Amino acid sequence: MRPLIATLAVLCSALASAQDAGVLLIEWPADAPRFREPKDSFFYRSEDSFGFHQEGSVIAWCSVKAPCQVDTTPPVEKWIESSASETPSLPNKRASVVVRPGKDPGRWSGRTWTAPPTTLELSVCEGSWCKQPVVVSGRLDPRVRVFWSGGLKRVAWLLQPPGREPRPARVVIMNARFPQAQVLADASTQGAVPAVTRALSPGYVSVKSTGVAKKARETSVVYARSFDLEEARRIAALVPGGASVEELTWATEAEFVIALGASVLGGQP
Amino acid sequence: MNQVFVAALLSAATAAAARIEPLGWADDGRTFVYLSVEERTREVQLCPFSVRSGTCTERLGTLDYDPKKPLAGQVPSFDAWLKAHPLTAFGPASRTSPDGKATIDVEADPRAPDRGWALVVTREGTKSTVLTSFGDGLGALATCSSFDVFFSPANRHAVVVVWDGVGDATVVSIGVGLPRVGFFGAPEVADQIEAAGASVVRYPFVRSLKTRPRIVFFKGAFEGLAKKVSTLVPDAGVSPADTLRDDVEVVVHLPAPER
Repeated sequence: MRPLIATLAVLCSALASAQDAGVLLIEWPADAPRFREPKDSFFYRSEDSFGFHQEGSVIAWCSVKAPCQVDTTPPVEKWIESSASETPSLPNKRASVVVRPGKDPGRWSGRTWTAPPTTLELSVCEGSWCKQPVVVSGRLDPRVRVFWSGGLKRVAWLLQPPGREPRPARVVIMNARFPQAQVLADASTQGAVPAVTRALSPGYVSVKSTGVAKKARETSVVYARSFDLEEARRIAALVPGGASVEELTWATEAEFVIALGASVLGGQP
Repeated sequence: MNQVFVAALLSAATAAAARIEPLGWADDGRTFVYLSVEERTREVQLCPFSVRSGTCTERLGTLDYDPKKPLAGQVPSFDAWLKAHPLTAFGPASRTSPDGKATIDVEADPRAPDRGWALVVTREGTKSTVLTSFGDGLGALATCSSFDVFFSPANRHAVVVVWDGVGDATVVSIGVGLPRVGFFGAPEVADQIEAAGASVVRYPFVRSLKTRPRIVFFKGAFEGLAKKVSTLVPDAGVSPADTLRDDVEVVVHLPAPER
């Protein structure tokens, strides 16, 4: 078991750098235990970290904010905050998986035919809005398991490999919350705030607060963290008059800040 | 007329949760011999895989195998079996049969094109779907990553090793010889049918057999073949049938054994 743990720790550390868009990809080593019910349990240590334990021993837990960690010795109770809820659909949210075959139809070489890799697009939807999908490609079993955190902030996707023996698997952790934004306006654009709030389409972007902009702008700007820029572009398209996207570099109470510029007075996007 | 004899047929599959190492064909021409190797546990099995039954007819195994060393001399029981059953080496590594008449291809399963596969045999210009991942219940095919094709020396059968992409394999057999006769029952009759020049393959649907008489169904222009086969099956009649699967032209129906 020790070589497995060492390998897993190294692998998790290496792949932590691959964290992107709030998603952590973990590829388990080939000799890692597979996830077998009912002896396996999946849990959230917090809204941000997802893990699993097997027969009472924690094998691994991974967070969207920190590298994965592996341990077999601590008591499970210390780590578990809540059990993960395994269901694709909730009253107001659903997990979406689109399976796309590779564009390459497969090829022959001598007596051997090789299939194209499968592509899975993982997303979370609320009403008619779906978040930008996370695309995972490889030799993947299209049977995907979904685990929601208790607060519904996170969703973990367990991508198990085909076959019965212990094989590499992947865990993808997504931010399942739909965007929250803070809208900032100066004196000249203050009157446009209600229209902007309506335009941000309830159910997709919710306006958490409004405030006063420190400067006047010609064009509206959507500020977002570097890993949320893609989402920011979708929000920018909803802002009346359009908006550019820039990186958010200060602490805020919402993950997106929309600073209104004079362009918001000019019309609809 | 033989051009419409698209030979092929499905048989059952045997699963091997391990790496498959094909060794060759046994001297009867219808037994595909392979090793099933589990390196983690140093376990290996020698499997004589019958293309008729779709299963290993014997299972010789050991738990003390070193896959990095030559097989010969490691496992006495294997050596004895292989000495009693000389193997014929595989033909050219190709998806086309050695006689050039049959070609195997892989297409998307029409019932699940986004995730399933179908094995298609083309013989003399005519295509026949012989195995589908969903229709035939072979889940391993749904997530396969590659196929390896091995034609029998007489061009009657092919064994396909289906790899799941992470090291496990499933072995399936399909008939590619002419003509094809779906059959189940007494093996000595099957031997006679094959001795008469047909390709005997295992027919998968047996649920209603108990209520059926002995009868040889045929479709299209295969009445002559059906009558020939019926002479080998005591008390069997002959009847046309247009509803047979498209991967077999003649089917021998026998009553199920009494329980």
